[in-house]
Order: sequence, then structure tokens, then C-alpha cells
Amino acid sequence: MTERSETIVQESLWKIRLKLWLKEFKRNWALFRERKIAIFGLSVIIFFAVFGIIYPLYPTIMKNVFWKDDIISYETFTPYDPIIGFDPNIFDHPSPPSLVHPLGTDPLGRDVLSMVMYSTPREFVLGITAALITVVIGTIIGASSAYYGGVVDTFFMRLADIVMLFPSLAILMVLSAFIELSLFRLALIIGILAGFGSITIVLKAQALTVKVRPFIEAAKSTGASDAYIILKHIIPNILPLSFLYMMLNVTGAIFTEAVLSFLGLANIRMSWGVIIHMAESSGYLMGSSIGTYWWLWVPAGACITLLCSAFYFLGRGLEEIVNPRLRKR
Amino acid sequence: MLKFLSKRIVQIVILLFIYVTIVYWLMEAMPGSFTDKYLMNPKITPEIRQNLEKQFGLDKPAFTRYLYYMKNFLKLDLGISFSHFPKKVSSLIFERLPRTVFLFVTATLVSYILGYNLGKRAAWRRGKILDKTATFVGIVFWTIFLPLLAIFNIWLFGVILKILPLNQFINPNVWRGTDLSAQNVFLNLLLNAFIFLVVMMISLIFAQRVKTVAAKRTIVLSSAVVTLTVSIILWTSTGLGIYALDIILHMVLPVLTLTLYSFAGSMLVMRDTMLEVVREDYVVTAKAKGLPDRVVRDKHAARNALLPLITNFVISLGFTLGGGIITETMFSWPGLGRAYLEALNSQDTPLLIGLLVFTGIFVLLAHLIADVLYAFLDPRIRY
Amino acid sequence: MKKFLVLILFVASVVAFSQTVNWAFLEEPISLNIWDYLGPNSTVWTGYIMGPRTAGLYAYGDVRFDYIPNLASDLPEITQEGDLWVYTVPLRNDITWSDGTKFTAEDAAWTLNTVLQLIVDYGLGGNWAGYVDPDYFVKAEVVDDYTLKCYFTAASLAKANFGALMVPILQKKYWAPKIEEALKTGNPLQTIYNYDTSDEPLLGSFLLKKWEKGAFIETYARPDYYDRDQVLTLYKNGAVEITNPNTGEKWVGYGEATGEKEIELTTGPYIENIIYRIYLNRTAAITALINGDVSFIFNSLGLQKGEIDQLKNVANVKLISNSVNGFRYMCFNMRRFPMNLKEFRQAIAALVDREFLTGRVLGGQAFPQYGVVPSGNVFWYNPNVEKIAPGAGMSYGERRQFAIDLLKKAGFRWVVEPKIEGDAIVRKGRGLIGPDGQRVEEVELLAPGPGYDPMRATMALYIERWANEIGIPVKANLVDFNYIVDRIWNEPFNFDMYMLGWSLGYYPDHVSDFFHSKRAGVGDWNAAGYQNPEFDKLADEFLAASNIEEARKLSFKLQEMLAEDLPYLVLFDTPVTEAYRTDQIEFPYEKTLSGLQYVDGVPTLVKALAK
Repeated sequence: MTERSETIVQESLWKIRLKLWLKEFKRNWALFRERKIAIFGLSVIIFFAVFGIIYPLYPTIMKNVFWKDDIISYETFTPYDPIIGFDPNIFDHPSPPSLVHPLGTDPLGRDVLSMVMYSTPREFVLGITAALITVVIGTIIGASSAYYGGVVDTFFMRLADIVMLFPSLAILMVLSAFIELSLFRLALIIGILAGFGSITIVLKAQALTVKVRPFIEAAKSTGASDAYIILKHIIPNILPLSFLYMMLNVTGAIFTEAVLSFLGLANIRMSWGVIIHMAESSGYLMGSSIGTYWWLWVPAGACITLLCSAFYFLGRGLEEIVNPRLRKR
Repeated sequence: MLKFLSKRIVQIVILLFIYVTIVYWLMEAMPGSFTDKYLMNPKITPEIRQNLEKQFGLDKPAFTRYLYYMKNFLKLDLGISFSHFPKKVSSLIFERLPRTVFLFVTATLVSYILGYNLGKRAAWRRGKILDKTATFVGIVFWTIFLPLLAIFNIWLFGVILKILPLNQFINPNVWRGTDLSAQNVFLNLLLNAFIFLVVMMISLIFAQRVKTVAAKRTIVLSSAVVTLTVSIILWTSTGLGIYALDIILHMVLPVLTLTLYSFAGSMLVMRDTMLEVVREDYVVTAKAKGLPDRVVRDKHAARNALLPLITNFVISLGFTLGGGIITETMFSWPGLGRAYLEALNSQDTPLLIGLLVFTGIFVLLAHLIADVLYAFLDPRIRY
Repeated sequence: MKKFLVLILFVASVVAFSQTVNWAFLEEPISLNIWDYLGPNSTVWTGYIMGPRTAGLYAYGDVRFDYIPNLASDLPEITQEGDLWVYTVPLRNDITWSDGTKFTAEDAAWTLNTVLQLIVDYGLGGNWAGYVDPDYFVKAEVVDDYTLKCYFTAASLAKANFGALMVPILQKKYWAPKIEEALKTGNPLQTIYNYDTSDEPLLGSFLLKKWEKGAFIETYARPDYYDRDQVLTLYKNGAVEITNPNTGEKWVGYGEATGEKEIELTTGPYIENIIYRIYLNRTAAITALINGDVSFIFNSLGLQKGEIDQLKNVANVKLISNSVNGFRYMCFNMRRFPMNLKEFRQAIAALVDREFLTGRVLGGQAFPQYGVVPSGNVFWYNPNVEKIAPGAGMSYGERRQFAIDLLKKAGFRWVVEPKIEGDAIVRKGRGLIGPDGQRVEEVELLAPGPGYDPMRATMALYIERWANEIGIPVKANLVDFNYIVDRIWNEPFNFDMYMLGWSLGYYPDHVSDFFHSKRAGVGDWNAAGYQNPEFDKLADEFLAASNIEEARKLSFKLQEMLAEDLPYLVLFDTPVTEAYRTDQIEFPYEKTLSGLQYVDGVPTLVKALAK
């Protein structure tokens, strides 16, 4: 018998867990940093987040410095509403960028920069809400299908088939006709539609690989309940993949909303898609006007592209962490 | 295999029924109805409006109409369109179908071929310039707002450079003199493409049988060349050549736009699968054997990575409806996607339901073909 | 080989182009079957092509929309026979169908009687009933080959002159057997709508040559058009003269054909072919115009500001602007509190500064409208309505004060009363309480969303804000157009206020249709629920008027009544701006109500300029 000095674990459990997690995180971060593209994505996202948060500051600053109410006008600046805000001091709208309006004004006299800024947090909310809902639904269904198999599995897989049959854009166009689609509701619908679709199949496949691992068997034999196994074992192991898909879904949601607004179908008061729609329906997106009136579509279009690609790059970066086989040896 | 097929077909039929029901009730739930547009005309009194509603069959309760619709559906009759009353929905769909199919199949094909090529090269030279630029450029185009890309392309190629026609799918000046309808030419073009495909498949099968590389190459190349020449001769001799050329010319810009927009998808799938394949033993063996780099890449690695790409291709064909709406509007290409938008705006419920059902069938069939193809191409998969 | 092909194409197009004009459509017509077109499937695009194909006994003259004889040779003679009124119509004897047969009273009588029969017995709906009203038209009789008698239950400009006597006439020889066949089938109307009319003999000036589905429609001019070289002269004193040097035809109406001429138009056609190209989006059509592929774009909404800016700088493109026959408005639901109180409606009216909204916010793209007859409809418009409008000419502060005073006069109170000093709102109003002590709950304003109409959406938001400032709890709901229609007509009348628009016909009988108390039933036009017996009496007199001057006076009174009571708050409309290439075509005139597209591009008068 060897002398075994019992190392009494002095630290509490949660602290140990935290340290382990931190170590893992640091390792992943090192991996992540290697991919320049992913860093680029992350920084763009942070930029936009900040951009959106500082929104209320911008009109306040501009109001005090540049935008003066004139008595004849109708107090359009207190408070400044980017949707119906109107600058009566400039006669010809849309006006090009200037000190007073850094990104110019649109055909209805609204300041473009404030519209873009105002939409940013909303786009974030839209994208992340939709993606979150999709992933939550997809994860739960995927895990349950894999674990229970049988009827549950068949039911959800067939449901996924039906949901995937629906051309999502087409269905959204129909729905926009009778539900007043605020951004939040749109996010909900996009999230739910996507949540029951192809993501369940992918996550189920992943969950299946987890299900056959020995520790699941072990857990079952010690009397763990089904819910416990699913929640504590299966889901955490497919979570990285879910997280990855979440990034991709954010892109999809933002895009879908932009397309709907562009076609004039959703009745959202303000978003990047609405800005571009305004430009197009006023006839400024044609011929050489594309160049002359660039501020009507470049800011909004660039934002869509930047934010969507940023999330996508972030997703690609995460992919390497999640799927070790894709890492460079 | 047969058992698998029959089981799947049964499943498809059941799914289709459920799908049609859901679609039907969804459309019914839309507020307003087609006859609302008569409300904008003060000359039409309520009695007259009721008469019109009766003609459209809208005076019966929803459930009766549903049963009636399902009964017709079983006879493959998709009902009568409201906005093109009293033309049948199926004839409207048939009228628009060739235009959409031709454009989108071509665009998807070109996009996938481009993606395939870029993807295999990018994976092979992983981390180098090609990889990084291709990925970056691809994603940027992927996330560009499609309408903007379309507008830009039209402006660049049509207005500034003036080398491509601006819009529509034909040039009226070319078509004025004849009795020929574009529909016929489209159908002929599709037939031509189909025959070409069949011939190529047969020649590939023959090429498998033959032993030497040279023989294989001759068979494939010669069959391609022969079919093409015969087609061109047929086209020019019957005088239909100009018309087909006109349509193809008008197709270049939309195909170009769609390809730019979507090549990233197939490229990344190809790249990822390639990366996995590259670690396989047989690739290492091939390299160790001293085979030239390109041969290893194309003949060994890429071919095996092709599998998910092909299934993706087949599945994406099923989505021609949804993808089409923007493209068809921006390029004035009146196909199925555009029909959907118009039907939605005028609340032509039968046409809407018909289009969605049609897409559903398309998608289901595409899935089935994808599954079959998968089994065909990968001997490891057996149903 | 390719060069040769290109050469052939080039030569072909040059040769073909010399007397061909290319015009752009933004949507494809549905069907050239006239039963369908005036029935369930009427769209403006079909109308642009159907217009030059058909003709009625009487028509609207160019430019001034005078009521002139078309297939008839003179204005109708009105007599009374028993309790029926008889309109005797003399017909011209020099008119032929496109298949060579002569037009006679048989065709006209057959058309009118058949349309009536189809409406009454088979439920033929749509615009047919706008022409032939079964409550008024009884029958048509042939007196001789060139004289027609029409029987009506009452003499009425609206139902007879501007109604049945303007219906497009169809050829009996071609249609009678077809209609008989159809009546034997299970679904006669559908059979009729389904008939292919490409071989139909027509009275119009342009016939169908080729319809390439999805791409273009080509029409060609009738070489034997009976009205070729006809001269229409409009005199400044209001007189109208029609002469034709070839046939010796001569007609003068509405005064003496002397004095200064306003305009003289000679009918062609001067072109041989028209190709209507179908584009699916505006950018495409305008780019085509800039490129020279087309000479004119049909668009009932006119050009947008950005498009106008773009086209201003293009050589050889001319922009023309015309007022429209229509308006956009807000409607109060007078069945509900507080919209049933006149002072409430007038207060809201006072708050709305149309000049500011149209001039500054909408950048001059719209112009204010005050009355239910659009100001562009010069003959019927009563300019007094502008003075009656509450708040006219007042400043920002004065409007608000006026509104507050109106409400106070009616007995409204506030929890927190708004206070105006000069032009500034010193204290916002809150908690409006009605005269009977009832608290005013949120008042909903339904308006189309920015995707459908950014102008109305913007207006609604401004009205919401202005009302809220003085404590009227208005909430603007920007929703789908169909949703609004559903709420108003199908639910029914489940609204407080809504904002929509109308596109009107020339003869203003809509004033009765929209506000007569008998039209206030479910699904009918009086959505506001306006009940005014005095108005009803005048409206009935107006409809029954048989003299146009008398009708005009009555119409003026009706407009003033409505401007006072305000069931509708008429807001604005946009002028229609069109563009055409001056190096390719030439129009005889440019000023006309609702633009050249409203008169189908006047194909018999337009000239092609050699390239």
C-alpha cells in the first residue's frame, strides 16, 4: 500500500469549473486569433454594437450644434424621430453629405446617418432573436429526436421536411399581409420557421454521435432521468455546433428582412432594407443616379453586407474550434 | 432500393397532402380577398360584387371550398386563377415554367461549376492567397444585397458598356415578324439541353467500360462535340437559331449576377469536404506515389468530395421559386417567382396556392432524386 | 456568319422602326376579351390597349373632355313616352367594322340589350354595370339602320348620356352566335370570358398583330379607319366642331364655331405599328427610355422624383406634368364617438397643414386638395371649398388655437388643457373628455405602410403627432392596404379613421355614391356613414339632371356641403409626370387631365419622327 496523501480540495466546485472553463477559453481564443477573418468579423460586430448603442447621443449632439429649429418649422427636432424627422432648412431633398448631415438626407428629408444608426440595434435584435429562437428550438428537438428515436424522431423529421418545403420568403410575404410585422414579431416568425427546419436534422445527426458514447450509457445506468441526460449531457455537447449555426442564422434573418422591406412587403417603420426601398421607389437607384446619389444606398447596403459577413466570418472562425478536424495540424 | 423508393414515394404523397392543406388554410387566413379590388370602383354596387364573388366561388364557406379544392387536386387540377380569370392555374404555371427553369438551372449549374473549381483549388492550397481571397470575395458577394447587385450589373453592362441587353428575355424587334412564340423556343432549348445531358451520361457510362485514358477521353469529347454540332445545325437550318441566340444573350446578365451572388455557397461546401478528404489515406498514398499534384487533386480528392456538392445542387434546384422573385423582378424575366409576387399583390389565392404546391412537389422530387443519386454515387450507402 | 446576322437584324429593325413606335408597360395585360376586360379582369394595362380597339355612341373629346358624338352623328334627343324617357340617337352611316361590314343600329341595340340581359339574368359584373344600370336602362330599339331609341326609367346625365350611351359597341354578327352558344353551357360567363378574340371585327383604330406572352404586344393601324383625316376643333368660347373633308361630315356643338381656336387636331393614324414592351420594374423601363429602346412609358402613377431628376439631364427626353383626376383622403367613421361630432372633425382638419406637408415635407411632389372633386377636373371643381376648409391660411399656432377653440365650443374638456403661445406649444394637452363627460379613448388612424405609399404613411404620422400635441389621442397604424380594405368593408366599418385614395371618372357622380345615405349599408360606398337628408335631396336632383349646366350648379352646392361637414378630409394628390422621347415621337398636345396615359397615348394622333 502506497502512501497517498490526500489532497483535500480546498476550492469550491464552482471555482474549479470556472478555472477549467477559462483555460479552455484561452486555448480556443488562441486558435481563434489565428484566423484573421474571424477577428475581422468579431471587430466589425463590436463596432456595430457600439455604433448602435451610441445612437441617442448622435441627435442630441447634432441638435445642439447644427440642427436648429426655426420658428416657422414644426419642432421637428424635439425629439428627433428618424422616421418622420424632417429638416426644413434645406430646400432640396435628398441632399448630399455635409457637416450638418454627415451622410446626407433622403428624399423625405430625413437624416441618413441617424436612420442607419437607429436601425442598427434593431437589426441586432432582429438577427440575434431570430437566431436564438431557431437554435433553442433546433437544439431541443434535435437532442430529443436523437435520444428518444422512434415516433418522436419520425414526427420531427417529417415536420422538418414539411417546413423545408415552404419557400420561406414566400411564406413570409404572405404573413406580412396580415400580421403587423414589427421587427420583433418578424424575428419570432423567422426564428420559428427556421427552427423547425433543416437545423433539426443537422443537430440530430450530431446528437446521435453523442448518444452512442459510453458516458450516456453510464448515466442511464446510474438512474439519471431522460430530461437530465438530455439537458446535462447531450445538449452541452452539441451546443458548439448550435452556436455556430446561430451565427449563420443571424445573417439569414437580417437578409430576409431586408428583402421583404425592399419589396415593400413588410410594414416595418425603419430598417436598412426600408432605407434602400425608399431609394428605389423614389427612383434614385437607376442609371447614373446610382453614382450621384450614392449616400441613399451605400451606407445601408454596406451595413447589411458588413454585419452579415461579419457574423458569417465569426461563424467560420468558430467552426474550427468546434470541429477539430478542420484545424490545421 | 425499390422498397426504399416505394416507401419514400408514399411518404412524399402524405407530406404533399399535409403541405397542401397547410398552404390552403394559410392563404385563406390572409385578410381581404380578391374581390376587394372592386371596392375601389364606385360603379360596382354591392349586388354586383356579390355576383362576382359567386363567379369566383367565394360565396361558399371556406371548408366547402377546401374540399372542392382537394377533390380537384386529386385530378391534378389546380383550379382557376382569379387575376387571369378564367384561365386555369396549371396553364399559367406551365406558361411561365420554361422561362424560370431555363434561367435557374443554367445559373445554378454555372454557379456550382465555378464553386467546384474554386473550392477544390482553395482547399488544396489551404491558407494561401487563393484560399483567403476566394473565401473573402465569395462571402462578400454572398452578403451583398441582391437587388443592389442586380441594379449595378444592369447599369454596368447594359448602360455603360452596352454589351448586354438591358432587360426582358427577348428583343421584340427580332421576334416581331414571326408567328413563333418564345414558349416554343424555350421548350426546344430545354429539350436540346436534356438530350445533351442524356447523351453525355451514356458516353460516360461507355467511357467507364473502356480501359485506356485516351479512349475514355475520345469517347466523351467526341460525343460532346457531335451533339453540339448537330444541335447547332438543327437550330440554324430550321431558322430558329436567331431566336435561341436572342434568348441566350438575354440570359447572360441574370446568370452572371446569380453566379456571383451564390458561388460562395458551393465553393465553401466543396472546400470543407475537400479538407476532410485530404486527410484520407488514399490521398496520402497518391501523393507518395509521386503523381502530379493536379492529378491527385482532381482525380482523387475532388472526385470524392463531389458527393455533398451534387446533392446540394439537386436540392437547390428545388428552390427555384423562392430564389427567383428578386432576380425575375429586377431583370424583367416573367417567370414563376414573379408570378408569385403578382399573385400576392392581387390576392389571387388559387394561383398562390398552385405555385406553392408546385414548388412543394418540385422540392420533394428534388430531395428524392438527391437521395437516390447519393446512393448511386457512394457505394458505401445502401438503403 | 454572325456579322451577316447582325446586319440582317439591323436592316430589319431600321426598316421596321420607321413607322413603328415602342412604348413601355410595367405589367402585362390580362386578356383582350372585352367581356372579361369590362368584367372581372379590368386592369389599366388592358385598358391602354382596349381603348383604341373600341368605340361607343358618344365619347369624351380630347383635351377638354367635352361630350361629343362618336358613332352617333349628333347629341341625343330626349322625349318622354308615358313614364319612360326615350333618347333618340341618330347614327353615322359611314362607319365600317374592321372586317368591312357596315355599322348599323342593329349592332348598337344588340349590344345594349345583351349587356342588360347578361347583367340581370346571369350576373355579369364589373364595369359593364357602370355603363348599363338595370335600374335605369330598360331597352334599346332599332328605328331604322341609322337611328336608335333607348328607353330609360328616368332622364339622367349620369345613367344615360355618361352611362349606357358610352358603352363600347360590339358586332352583332360576330358575337350573337357566340353568346348563344355560351348561354347553353354550364357556366356561360366563364365561356364568354374564355373566347379568343384575336379575329374579332372591331370599330377601333388599332388591331392586334401579335401577342408574345410575357414580352410584348404588337398592334397595327387599320388602313380603312373611318375617322381618318377627321378634324376636331375646340374653340375658346367652348364650342366644339367636328369635320371630315373626305366624307363631308360636320357637327358643331356647345356654341358657335367662330372666334379664336383653342386647338385643332387631325386624326391619323400616322403610325403603322405600336409595340408595347412589357417590363417588370420601373428602373428597367426608364433605362430603356434613356437608351432609346422605347419612346414613352405608360404609368398611371407617374414618375417618381428620383426618376424625374435622372431624366431631366437626358437629351431628347421631355418631361410633362399634369394634374390628376383623383385624390387621397382621410375618412371619419361618423357612426362612432367622437368622429360623429362636427367640431371634432373640423378640429382635426384645422390641424392639418396641407401646404407644409406637400410643399416642404414631400418636397413639392404632391399638391393639396380640398374638395371631393379634384381641382384638375376644371369644369366640375368648385374653388370655394378651399375657403371653407378650416384653418385655411392660418399659421402654425393659429391653427392649433383654432382647433382648441372648436373643441371647446363643442363642449370638450381636457385633464390638462393645451396652451399655445404664438407658434409654440407651451403645454401639451392630455386627457380629452367629450361633452357628455365620456373620456376620449385612443382614436385609431389606419393608413398604408411606407412600402405601399410613403407619402400617406408620412402624412399619417404627422397627423398623429399634431393631434397628440393638443391632447387628441390619435394613433397611426401603418398596415397593409388589404387589411384596411378588410376592416372597412368586410368587418364592416370597424375603423375610427382611415386614409386611402380614389381614382375617379370624369363625371362626378361619385359625390353621390360616396355620401348618399342610401349607400351607407354594409359593403357599400358611404363608409363614413354620412346621413344628411338635405344632401340626399340635392344629390338625387343632381343624378336626375338632364342639363349639364344645371348639374354643375348642383354639384357645386354638394361640394360646399361636404367641405363644411367633412365626412372626408381630402388631403392631397400627386401630379402625374410622364416622359417621352422627342427624337422619336411627337404628341399633338401635352396638357390633359391625368396625363397622356389616361387617353391611351392618343395613338391616332401621335406621329413618329423618322430616325
